[in-house]
Parts: sequence; structure tokens; C-alpha cells
Amino acid sequence: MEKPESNYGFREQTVPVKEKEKLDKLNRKWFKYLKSHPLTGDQLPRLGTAGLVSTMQMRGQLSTKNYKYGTYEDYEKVSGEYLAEEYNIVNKGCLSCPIKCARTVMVDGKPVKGPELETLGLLGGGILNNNLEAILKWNYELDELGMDTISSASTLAFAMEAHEKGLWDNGLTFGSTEEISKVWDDIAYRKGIGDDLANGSRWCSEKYGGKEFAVHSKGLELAAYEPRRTVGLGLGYAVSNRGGCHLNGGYMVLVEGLSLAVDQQNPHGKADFTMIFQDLMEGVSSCGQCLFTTYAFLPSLIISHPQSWYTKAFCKIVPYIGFVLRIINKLPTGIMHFHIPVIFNQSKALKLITGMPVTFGSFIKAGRRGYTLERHINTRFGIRRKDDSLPKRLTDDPQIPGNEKTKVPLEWMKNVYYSARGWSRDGVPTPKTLRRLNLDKLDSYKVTCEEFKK
Amino acid sequence: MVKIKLFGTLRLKTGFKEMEADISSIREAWVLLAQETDIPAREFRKCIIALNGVPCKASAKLSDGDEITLFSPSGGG
Ligand code: SF4
Repeated sequence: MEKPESNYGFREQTVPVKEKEKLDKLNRKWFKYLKSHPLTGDQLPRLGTAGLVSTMQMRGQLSTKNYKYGTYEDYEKVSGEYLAEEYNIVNKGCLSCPIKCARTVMVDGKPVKGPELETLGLLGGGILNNNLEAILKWNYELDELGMDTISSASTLAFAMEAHEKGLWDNGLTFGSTEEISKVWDDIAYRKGIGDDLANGSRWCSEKYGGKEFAVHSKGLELAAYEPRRTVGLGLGYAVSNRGGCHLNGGYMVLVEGLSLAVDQQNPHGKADFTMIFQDLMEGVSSCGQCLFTTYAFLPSLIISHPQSWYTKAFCKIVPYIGFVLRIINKLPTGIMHFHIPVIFNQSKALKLITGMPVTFGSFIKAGRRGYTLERHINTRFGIRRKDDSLPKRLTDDPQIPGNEKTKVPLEWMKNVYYSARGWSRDGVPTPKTLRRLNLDKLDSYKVTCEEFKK
Repeated sequence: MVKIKLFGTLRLKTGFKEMEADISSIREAWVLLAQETDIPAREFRKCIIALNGVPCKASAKLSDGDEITLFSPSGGG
């Protein structure tokens, strides 16, 4: 292959690796494991995240009509399977990644990036649209405009419901999708109703009313997973440091319906699992790895045999082992002076690259410190328990009328979560927690919010 | 008649989408799917099953007009 003439102005440099041979060996094993795992070697490469639409439909987790319902009758027309069969032209992904989760589709004769599950869910059932071709086009348009598809779609759904309820005369109606491309443009250039929509669903609900169905947490719109049927993720969305983010929220839906069938409505044990998932994902994200590699943390054997007695037993006990996790979470991370072979290679890889004495325990601790530090900063900006919230639709109205279990028991779960994290009942990390994580000295930096804003 | 639908990566591998058949148990559906595709029945036994859109056990009894859906394992996004 011919070498390109220029390096586009970049100087060629090699990233030094402390123990290259050992790292290469680990990488070979890791790649092999990822490729053999049903999620990272089969579902993500073949269907991408889009493959979740049909599973979410079965579990009642596919947000529909601005999160009013959890199933969409036309879900097949906006499913990952239909996308793969009719529109996907090639599977792509990030450089050197063995998973390659991205889709490529044709829009106006051009190959462009295909939609993720969140986009399919929220621009499909979320606004009662069954036209997949339209979603491909909007996904491309939003990417080009530099706008997030989750926030855009969810704010649009809120506006449609506000119009339907007579709160805001904006001309947007569920199921009517001809003018949507113009709405994206109007938001980007702040024209007409786009000027209001550009501020997001929280702002619009404060102006026009309808806070009970403005689906956001701390001003950030939620992903397509309907939390009333995955209550662990409901907690995660609410307490997440960056607002209603499914990944920063611990992504409990992975075990509450997507890959495993842990009781979606049982709130027990979920807070402790959420905490450990958040810490792990925080660690993985902050060392520059892709979160999708963490899905291989769920052993291949239990994922690929959902009907087996051991998988069913595992799912049954999860809500009852929260207290075990609580004890582990409270122990000094130093006692986890080991790596977890095969299923979790991140800590060892980090050690081999940097030469730092990383172990599984110190990796979790780094994640926990990151998560707590973010919270600590948030609390300086005034974030408290009242802000770890979800709209009334999700906490007060059962998704299945008459079944009180199908709503998020948020206040109860928050109590357990704060206590697991070592935060006060108002959601503030206690001095003892900060001390344990070596974050207490930060208070000597007397930078207050007011100074920061200056 | 019972409608059988297939989702997930098994659908892409086999090209099988749906069919109607005169069956009364999920066991029969596995055998039928193995006949219709080149995939052995044990692969279909690994699927998560839903009866009329609601997750069910492999021992569920089927009656006329029912719809069963099989999903190969899925993950996260
Ligand atoms: S690195 Fe992550 S996002 Fe990129 S292709 Fe691989 S799995 Fe997908």
C-alpha cells in the first residue's frame, strides 16, 4: 500500500507502552474472547445497537408516544432486523475495534452513518412514526447539524404532546412527520418554534406547562428505555451526574431485560448494582476504552443459555444479593488486589500500558473517585436530592394501568442508593466518604461556583 | 394455527422471518424451525421466547391464534 504523502500536519509519534509483549498477548486473548461472546461477537457486529428494538418491545421497555406506553405496534418496521435486511450496506466501526457496532446506510445516494437504537426508538414509536427511511434521513440531518438525536427527538415528542393537550399551539402532531426536517433546521437556526425547542423539554415545560410529561432528568432527556419497566435504570437516569443518561446511570437495563431477565419491577438490590456498574463504567470511560467492551463482563455461558437453570437461578438471586455487594462496596478496594481474567481485561491492560500498579480494586476505586468527584462538584452548583428526579409520568402513573409495580419507586431507591454511596439523605457526599476516597483535600481549593462563573 | 416469528441475529443468519404452523408446544416450534433452516434445533432452544408479546416459559402450551416470538440473545447500546 502506498504511504500517504503527508500526515495532515501531525507529527508521527509512537505511544510508549510499558510492557508491549505482554500487552500484545493480552490483546490477542481479549479480542478472541470479544469475538466469541454473543453480545460483542454476534449481536453488536451483526445488528448494532439497533438490534435491541424488538427485545425492548417484548419487555415493555420501548418508549412510545413520549413515554406514555412501553410497546409500539409497528415496532417491526423500525427494528434493527428490518434495518439490517433492507437498508444496511456495510458494518463499520472504530479503528482497530473487533466489535464494529456501527451501521452504514444510503441517504440521498450517499453512504452515511445509520441510526442507533436510541434514535430508532425515540424517532420511531416515540413520535408514532413507522417510516424507517425518514429516520435514516433525520439521523443524518441531525448529525450534520451537530445535534443530539436523543434530546432532539424527546423534545419533539414533548412538543407534540403539549400540542395535543392544548398547552402549546405549535402545529406538531404525533404520527405526522412530513415537516420534521424543517423542525431540525429551525432548531439549529433558532427560527419559529425551533427557537423554543432549542432550549430542550425542561425549558419548554416551564414555559408552556406539562412538567409531568417532560421526560428529562436535570434537564437532559432520557434514552429510549422506558424506565417504568426497568426500575434500576429509572434510578440510574435520576441520579446520573450528567442528567438522564443511560450509560452514566449504570445501565441496569442490560440485566433487567436486554441480556438477562432479572425482575424488571423489583427495586431490591438495584441501587447497589447501579453503584458498582456506574463505577466500573466510569473507570472504563476515563481510561479511553469503549463501554461496549464491558458487556462481555456478563459471562458468555449465562448470556447464551437464557433458558438454562443456572441463568434463571442467577436472575432470581440478583435482587437478594444487594447486601453482599453493599459489603463489598464498603470494603477497602485494596483487598481486591487482583485482576479478573477473561471477562474483565481493562485493569490489566491499563497496568501493562502505563506501568502503574493497577488492580481490579484500584480500577473500581478510580471509577468511584471520578463519580463521587463529579457529584461533589455538582453539589457545589446546588444539585441535591430534589434534582435527582424523573417526571411524574414515570414515578406516579403505572405503565400498565392498575399494576402499581410498573412505575419507578424512586424515592425509596434513592434512600438505598445514597446510603450505599455514603451520601447524606439529601444526596451530598459526606466528609467521611470524601476522606475515604482521598477527595477531602479538594475543599482546600477555595474555588466556589461564583468565582468559577467569573 | 400458531404464528412463529424470529428476531435477533438468528433471523439474519437464516433469513427466516415468520411462518404459520399447526403446533401446540414450543418444543414443536424448535423442531419446525430446524427443519425450515439449516440451523440445529439446539440453537433455537437458546432463544428467549415470548407468547403473544409477553415473555413465557419453554413449557408454555399454545392454542389456535397464538403468536410466539423467538429472540436470540441481545445486549446493550
Ligand atoms: S469501539 Fe465501541 S463504538 Fe467503536 S465500533 Fe467498537 S464497539 Fe462500536
